[in-house]
Amino acid sequence: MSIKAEEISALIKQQLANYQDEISVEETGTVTYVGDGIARAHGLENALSGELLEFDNGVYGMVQNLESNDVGIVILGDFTKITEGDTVKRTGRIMEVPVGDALIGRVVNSLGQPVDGKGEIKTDKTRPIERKAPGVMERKSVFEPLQTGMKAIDSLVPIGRGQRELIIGDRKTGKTTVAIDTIINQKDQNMICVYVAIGQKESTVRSSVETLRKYGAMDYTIVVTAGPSEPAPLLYIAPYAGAAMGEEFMFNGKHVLIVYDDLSKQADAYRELSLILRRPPGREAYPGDIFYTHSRLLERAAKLSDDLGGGSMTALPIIETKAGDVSAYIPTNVISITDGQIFLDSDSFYSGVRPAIDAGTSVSRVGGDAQVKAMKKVAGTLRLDLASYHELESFAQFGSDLDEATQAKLNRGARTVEVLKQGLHSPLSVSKQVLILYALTHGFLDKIELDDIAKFESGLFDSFDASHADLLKEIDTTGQLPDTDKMDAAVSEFAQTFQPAEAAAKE
Amino acid sequence: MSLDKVTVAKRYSKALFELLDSQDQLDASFEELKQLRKVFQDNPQLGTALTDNSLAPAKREALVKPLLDATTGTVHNLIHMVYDYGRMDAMVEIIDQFQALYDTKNATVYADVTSAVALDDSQLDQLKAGYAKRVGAKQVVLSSKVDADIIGGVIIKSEGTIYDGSIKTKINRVRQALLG
Repeated sequence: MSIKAEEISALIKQQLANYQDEISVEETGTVTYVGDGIARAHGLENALSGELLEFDNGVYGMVQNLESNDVGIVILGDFTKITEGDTVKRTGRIMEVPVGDALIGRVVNSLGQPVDGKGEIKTDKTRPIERKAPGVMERKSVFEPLQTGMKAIDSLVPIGRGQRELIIGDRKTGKTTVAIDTIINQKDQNMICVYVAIGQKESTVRSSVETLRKYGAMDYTIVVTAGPSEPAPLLYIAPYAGAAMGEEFMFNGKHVLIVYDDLSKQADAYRELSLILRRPPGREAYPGDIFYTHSRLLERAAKLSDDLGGGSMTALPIIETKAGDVSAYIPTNVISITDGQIFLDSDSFYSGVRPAIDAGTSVSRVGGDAQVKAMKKVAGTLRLDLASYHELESFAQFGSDLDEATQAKLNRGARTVEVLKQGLHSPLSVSKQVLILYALTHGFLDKIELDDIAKFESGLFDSFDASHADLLKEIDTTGQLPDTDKMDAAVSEFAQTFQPAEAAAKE
Repeated sequence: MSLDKVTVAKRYSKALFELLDSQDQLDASFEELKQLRKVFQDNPQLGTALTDNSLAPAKREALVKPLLDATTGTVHNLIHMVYDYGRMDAMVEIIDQFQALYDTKNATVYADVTSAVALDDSQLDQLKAGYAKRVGAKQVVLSSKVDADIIGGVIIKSEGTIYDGSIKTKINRVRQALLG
């Protein structure tokens, strides 16, 4: 085969004739004001709300306000090197973050850039951070349980996959711990967790990540962090970025748990940038759309229909109250958006009841359908028991002469409170939770001293693990309570051999 | 909330433009306005002095008088009105906005050209013609600048748009494509 030089050169000539130099055409504006993390720019007449813009020094910004003479831009990064008169370019894109499997086990910032020093994240998939939540036809009722591993939550305020359950309480009442323990318990549960730390101290985030790593939870967890030293816009977009990362898995038929820790700080960040953008302040100086900020975020948590793969995203937003005031603006907003709340009480926290869940004010509006049958049976009367105990408790302090029924109620109540206590980072499987609650509701604990309950509990678990593993397995696999005779026999077998601590000390 | 200068200027200039347009005096008055703007630009304190209430009204009127004497017709009336409403500090913006409206009507486009080497007149004319075709303008006013940093090619900046055909940008794009 011979090369025909003429033909080839003719071809090249033809291509050269058509070769057109591409020039880049960009729409630009001029920065007229910069400061406090925002900029204003003249020009950019076709810019869209929410569009990404690029400044001269490569820093990105997001269009927030479109006004008659200029646009208000939030700067996503270092704004100290942007000066008046700089040009700012449109990019035509809206804000996106990288998503996909490569993010699992990583700590990233609100832009999806790694901050854990483990090199770049190799993924070519991105998702826009703002997305309209799944609609009516794309959803399905919540029915699968999400086990938090905490007796007090799984029995009293069960959470279903796809639910939004608020964790609310004063500072230092263990809100983050509840969330972290829930993540730790998702091991081998076919769950992917996203922990979004908004305005948390870098040292706190560091220790949370260390805890997760220690318990092997980083194998299925993404941590998104926007520290207090980041500019407010990054704190504002962090939960949306986390939601976008979670959605990627949800739409691929997986189950996702996302924790927003905490949304009060996000609201503060949004208030800050809204005030600097000169939007009119409303109640508590929050902007008018602060409700929408949270509702559109939490609405993205969903249980998808089978047509869409049946994935789910469960959201656990956290809100910090000031001095137990749940009627402040942000707490009432988020309470009304979510499907229930876990209320953590500082008084019970300091009196040693940990997790400090207030059974009276904590509710779960949809989780009941998702609760394991066996758990439903043993936990059915728990809430009433606790309520009547708390009522009698204050009343009984005035007199010592109490009839037997009241004594029994008080007795049972005190043991219930004791059983619901649980150590840090020690989640329990459903079967064991059912077991100890079974022992409680069937009166096996009534004769045990309060101080011995914890010892009895661990002894009971050991004895079942050793000689009645089949019963535990039955609960785990079928979700039903095994035959009561068998259970009674097994529990009383252990109760008879149980040595109270005092007796053991005497020997 | 008090309005900012640009918003004010847009309102005055629109009224002025529509009035002059209906009187068919656009071109003549525009020349006058350009001179007026030059006066304000040459004396930057003039605008603020004329709106400063701490200055005695008599003194302020003495300052306005030469301006009023030098102008006639609608422009004369404009100065009167703007002075009465205390908007003299926005005069430059009003004329700028007027020019924007005037240019849109005449399809005139202003552009800054940056090139690596100085361009001769025929090259500039070519550029003008090409650019006019591209943006659909009748007339293009170019102001050229030389910047050796861009290595080669031309950058045209106009009304919030950059047409960047410089070698520097192309090299950067190639670099991004290879590294990114």
